Parts: sequence; C-alpha cells; structure tokens
Amino acid sequence: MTLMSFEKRWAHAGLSAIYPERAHGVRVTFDHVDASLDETMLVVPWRSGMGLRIAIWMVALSPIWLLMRLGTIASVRAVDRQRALGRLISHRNYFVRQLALLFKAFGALWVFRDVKLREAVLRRGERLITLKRKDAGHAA
Amino acid sequence: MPRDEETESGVKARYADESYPVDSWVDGETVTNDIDESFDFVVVGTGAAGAVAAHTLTCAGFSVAMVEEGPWIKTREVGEDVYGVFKRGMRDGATQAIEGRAFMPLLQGRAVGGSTLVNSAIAWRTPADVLHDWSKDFGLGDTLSEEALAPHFDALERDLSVKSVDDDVLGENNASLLVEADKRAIQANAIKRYEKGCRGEARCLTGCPHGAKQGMNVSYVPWSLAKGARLFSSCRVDKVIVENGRAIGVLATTTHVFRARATRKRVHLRARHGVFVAASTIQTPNVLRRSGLRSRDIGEHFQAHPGIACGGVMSSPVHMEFGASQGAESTHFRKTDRFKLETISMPPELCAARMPGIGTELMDKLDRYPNVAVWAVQLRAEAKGTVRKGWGGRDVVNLTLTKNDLTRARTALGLMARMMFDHGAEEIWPGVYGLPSVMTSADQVALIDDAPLDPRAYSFVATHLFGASRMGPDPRSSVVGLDFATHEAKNLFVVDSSVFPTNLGVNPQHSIMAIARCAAERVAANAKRSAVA
Repeated sequence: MTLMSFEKRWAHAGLSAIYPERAHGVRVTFDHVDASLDETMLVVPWRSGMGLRIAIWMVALSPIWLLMRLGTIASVRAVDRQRALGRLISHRNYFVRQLALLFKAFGALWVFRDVKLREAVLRRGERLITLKRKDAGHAA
Repeated sequence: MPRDEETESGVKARYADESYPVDSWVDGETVTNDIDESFDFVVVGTGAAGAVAAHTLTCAGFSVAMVEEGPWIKTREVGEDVYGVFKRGMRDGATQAIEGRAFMPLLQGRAVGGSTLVNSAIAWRTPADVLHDWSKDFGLGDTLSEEALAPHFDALERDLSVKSVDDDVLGENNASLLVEADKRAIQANAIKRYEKGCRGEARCLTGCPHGAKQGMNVSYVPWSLAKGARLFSSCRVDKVIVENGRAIGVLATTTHVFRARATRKRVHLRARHGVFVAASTIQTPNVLRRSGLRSRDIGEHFQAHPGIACGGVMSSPVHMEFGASQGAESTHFRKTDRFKLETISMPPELCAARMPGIGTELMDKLDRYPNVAVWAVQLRAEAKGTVRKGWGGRDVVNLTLTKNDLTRARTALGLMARMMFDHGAEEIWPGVYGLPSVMTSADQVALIDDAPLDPRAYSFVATHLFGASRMGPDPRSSVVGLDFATHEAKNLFVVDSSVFPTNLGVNPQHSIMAIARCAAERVAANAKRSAVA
C-alpha cells in the first residue's frame, strides 16, 4: 500500500501543526517524512497501513467537521490546523483520539530522524558543562 | 568489552556478532535457491528462549539449525533513532496491538535476538511464590522448582555477566527513583542486568551500539554458531512438519523487510531428534495451529504485564540520555498490590509521543527535555486473554484489563505522581483521559485516585507476555506436557514463555532463558539415552 502525493501533503500539514517548524530555537524539518511515510506503509501490515491512512484522512478533513471551515488541513491557516489537531487529540470518541495519537506518535518517529533536531532537544553539551562544573567544585 | 578477534574472512571483529564461521549464517534476504538441509534439532526463534535452547543443544554435541523470521541487525548497524529499529527489528513495524475494550500497543522484537535486541536486559530469577503456585495449582510438581532452575540461573548469570547497574552509569532518572523510594521506606534497588561494559548511553531500547548489552544477538546466537550451529534469518516458519504424530522438521519461506513481494524461497529443515518452538507467546500458538495441532487450549490463558508511564518536568536537570535505560526498580508492592515500579529513560521521539499537547505547548515541553524524568508501572494483571489466528493469518490478541487491574494501576500512578512532586517536579503528566493532562501541584494528584476505571482512559503498553500454550500434566487443560513436548505431537517441544501457567510480576527474560535451558538439557539427555539404546 502506498500513499498518494496529496495524502502526503495532508500528513505534512498535520505534522506541522503538532511539531511547528520553529519554536525555542529548535528547528523542525520534515526532510525525512516523505521517505518515512513510504517505508512505513511498506513495512507495516495491511491493517495497520489502513489505520494510518484513515488517520491521515481524519486529520485532513478535521477542519470541516471540527471547525466548520471549508478546506483540508493543508489549506487552512496554521492556527486553525493547531486547533483542529488539538481537538482530535483530546476527542471524546476513543477511536478518533487513538487515531490522532497514532498520527502524533508516528510523526515523532519520522521527525526525530533529523540528527540536528535530536541534538537540539537532547542538549548533551549542557550535561557536560554541568559535570565539568561539578568536577571543578570537587577539585576546589 | 568489545573484543577484537580475527574472523575466518580475515576481518577484525570488534563485536561478538561479527565473529562466527562465515558459512554458518544463511540470510534469507539474499537466498537465491530453495534450501533442504538436515539437523538433529531445529529451533524456531532466536529470542531469549530459542537462542539459549540452541546453545545448550549445540554444547551437548547436536547439530542445530536456528530459524528466525526477522533479520540480523548487527551492532555496527544500530542507529540512534527509534524509527530505524522499529521499521526493521520490530514485529509489524511496531504497530501490533492487543485488542479488547481498549487497544494496547504490543512491542515485540522481530530480529535475531528477538526482543532482547530492544529490551533493557533485566535479570530477575523466577519468584519463589510463582514457582510454588505453578507447582501446586497447575500440577507442575517439581518440574520447575527453585532447585531445578538454580543451576541454570547460575550458568546464565556467569555467561551473560549479570550485575547491578554501576553508580557510574546510573544516571539521574534512575537515581531519583531510588532517593524517593528511600524517603518513603519503599524497598527499591538498582536493577540487575546482562551487560559487559555499559557506557550509560540509555540506548537499550534501540539496540546497544557498543555490544555491551548481552542480548541474544551478541551472545548465545553467535556462540552457538561458533560451536557449529547454523542460523537461517529472515525465514518465516510456515509450519512444523508432523508425520505419524511426530515432529520431523520445519517448512519456512524467506522474507524481506522492505520487499513483501520479493522472490520467496522455500526452506526445508529436517530434524532427526525434534523441533523446539520458541517463537514467543503470540507466535507460538499460531505456529502450532498451522502445524495441525488442535488442542482447545492453544491460544487460551494469555496474560501480560501492561505498563504505564508517568512523565514529569523536574526542577533540576535529569538528562535521560545518560544512564542505564532502566536502572532502578521497586518490587515492594509486587505481592500486595501486584505492581512493580521502575524507571524508563525515553529517547526524545518516544517522549514527544507521550508528552501532552501539540504545537507550541508540545515544543515548550520538548525544550525542557533535559529536565524530564519518566517512571513506569509494570502491572501483574489478573486479566486473561486469547491469541487467535485472524484473517490473512495475522495474530489476533485479545485482553481486557479487569476493574482490579485498573484500580491497582491507578494506585501505582498516584504513588508515582506523589513521589515525583516530592522530588521537585514542576509538573507531571499522568496520561489518563478525563484528568488534567498536566498537573502542577501535589494537591491535584488526588484526582488520580478517582480516575475512571475504564481501560480506554489509560495508555498501557504491553511488553511481557505469557501463557497461550501453557504447560500442565493434563492434555484437557494444557498444551505442553511436563517434558516440554506437546501433548499432541512427539518431539515437538515448546520452551518459550507461552508455556508459563501465569505471569510473574517481574521481568521475564531470565525465567524464559533458565526454563529453555532446563528444557534443552533434559531433551538432549533423553535424545542421547535413546540414541545409545
């Protein structure tokens, strides 16, 4: 099972609402998302692939049924994307909520393939600085 | 520590999974012809049970074939991102789930080494109370007594270097749980693990990049190859061949992770003395069904240890990327409340999936990742479920947690939340639908005590799996006899956690390995005796 290009566009738009491109100096890129979507659809069983596709369609059409906006997730403003995704994630219907969480979880796996993003979030350097300060304190 | 050894090809081998006879490994992804070979024993699965059984049989002088559905992911290939290991080394790309009243993600390794490639290598001997119950309530007698298993635990602990997490690699996430438990007089300890030279990079869950974690992929599998066994990876077992009530081999088909329609080759492995099935609690029942076994008990009595995590932002740095992935635990409540507390250092992507919110709210939390701590509850659920064969041959696992299970999970979550606030958490994320997704004061934790007893409100993940082909003396209520052979087919042995009559309340890898070793040793002794006769 493969995704169509418009489905990938919807996935991009949905993910950009969950993981906005710029926040706190952390730059999120979506360079790996297309390839990851293709690979994921190839690796997972048919049923899981269908679940992911339904999640993407649900996200895509969420502005219509949650915000009463005529347009897909890719065509509404960034603030409306976030509103729509926010409502999906906390929706009272269990299946809607689970599909939205599935989309968010897979999005995290794809987005964090970016080494720069990972390093920016981990901030390993800070830990080393803390350790050096501690060592210096002990030496003194 | 990694060893530098000369391999047959003359290349310096830094890790154990690079040091084995060159023709001992058949990679199904590259096979171009059908295969037909004969061995004394064929072992299905290379996880904790299969690898240990294969090694024991090989050491006893038998020729052994190991068949594994997944690929062999070598230490040098291990990356840091979770996606890399999920797509290649996890069953169904980590999309497998237990169905019931709620979905519960089910994480199983599908690679050489099985789940030991991606678990935290935690070693726990089977608790005495569990063995006692098995003996008395399930008719196992002395088959799996403490005395019978002790020499096997001893041997495994020597081979795999079991030791408590060193202070040097404990890390703040683990240390903080120990400190808080101590304040409350809750018995807790550093976890005992299989490791040689852990660097504390918190990467157990994506496969150890240094070969320090002693998963089966870097221990018993290559050790078995060095002693003459053969490994057939990326080969899915279609069925065990049973003729005249006796297992005589297996039929498998080559697979490829990324090429579902790749040219499939047939692999026929004949077994002179028997077939060991160690394909895991989920896959073993369906392998038995596909092999023609018809016991009504196949797939019944399935149990698990559902896990639920509680995250929080601490006032001081935690740096989960440093320290043992899982380095601290408490079994204080195992007998009274059937739960175990433990730490789990989550990489950023898993943390992001677990963090509440989206957009800027989520990015704010990710920005505070260095201060994030995650602890978890492992529940010894009383619920029983089933493993069935679904449409297209897929495994269908069904389990719904009981009210008692949910009450205990709620109690444990509340305890963890209070401990986190006592340790200086600025906020915690209980992850229970219907409650605030972010709690900022200890007063709010009381809400958890009244959380709904509906499994759909919680985010459980299942990792430890038991039963579904359980052992017992009576063919009417069990699948496998006390000699580890199925009641229906001779020489067809089941040695994984599917034979466990119940769950344990502690991490099962050590028990699985000891029981597999015990079984293989007994079967090998019998095979030698019958050969002499």
